[in-house]
Amino acid sequence: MNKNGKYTTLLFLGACPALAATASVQASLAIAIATVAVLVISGLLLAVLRLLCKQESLTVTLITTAFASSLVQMLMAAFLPKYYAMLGIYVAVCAMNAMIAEAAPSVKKTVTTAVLYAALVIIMGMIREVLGAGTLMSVEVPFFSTHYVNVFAKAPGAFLVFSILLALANACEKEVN
Amino acid sequence: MIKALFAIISACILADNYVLVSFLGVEKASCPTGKSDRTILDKGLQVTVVTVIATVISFALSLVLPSYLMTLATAVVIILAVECLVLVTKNNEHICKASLLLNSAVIGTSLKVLASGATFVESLVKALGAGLGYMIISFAICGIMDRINQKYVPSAFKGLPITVAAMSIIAMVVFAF
Repeated sequence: MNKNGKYTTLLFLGACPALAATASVQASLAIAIATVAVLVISGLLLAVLRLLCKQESLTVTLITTAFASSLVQMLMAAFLPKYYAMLGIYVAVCAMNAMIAEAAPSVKKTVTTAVLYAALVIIMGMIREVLGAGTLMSVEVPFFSTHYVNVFAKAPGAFLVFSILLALANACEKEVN
Repeated sequence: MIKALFAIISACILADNYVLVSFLGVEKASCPTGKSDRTILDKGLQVTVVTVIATVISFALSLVLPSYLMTLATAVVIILAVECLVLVTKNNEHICKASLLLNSAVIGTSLKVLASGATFVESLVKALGAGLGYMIISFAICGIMDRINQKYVPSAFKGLPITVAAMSIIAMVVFAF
């Protein structure tokens, strides 16, 4: 598994919400907002905690991410109820997400991961919605609206699109390095 | 009653497999820590035990705590369950705490089962089924990856992308149920 780049591996660790909530662009925007918010809030809280205590522990990181996840859940339920309803349990799953726990302790990693993850999730949502439902933001796309493949909106399509995007990210990362 | 519970457990392992249908624990199931069958079996059993304990305690807590505290409470329960498992087994080198704590299958299953409104016995059986389903998928992925690694794989697809592509095919099989 160490054949992959650092950020490709990091993006893969956030696979669960990325695969579950990308059947449409709206859902992928919602999960991107939620995950980035949890990542940024836990990053900030951990930075403050590091000033108070130098010792880092996974338990502290997880309780911080769980707190951030609960906060984001409540904020989304209050201000973005439509988007929150689309996500189900997947905002809560961010509480113990390996990608967030890995990236949150470092500010540079937090920012890079947040940008890359949001881009990945939104691109994935666009591809899956066009190929799986023939629409983009609920607007019919010529040709695809009559030639859509339903499986792209389901689990196997999610895995397939994710694997191709991971391969692209992997190739780009190798090229940059 | 037994027939209904058997139906739930077989659904959790096959048609409603939490890894392939709900994507819970996908990032850990697809990269097992070791290649030997014994290691995967150990890992699968640990995930099953922690999932069952977390689900049972979360179910009890959900009767007294408000719903907005459940994410935080479940995260704390999982951390305690993992610590207890380490203490009870007295075999730290075979238990990777980080791998158990950062497994979205554990928190995801607990929260999904709670959200489904299942009874106590149903929740217990669903958690058990989810753990067993996770173990079976880990075995399947490991076996498939052993075969794939003997063949030519394009460099961008090596490692994680080809693993996710293989999962797409297994998900298609499960989707057929």
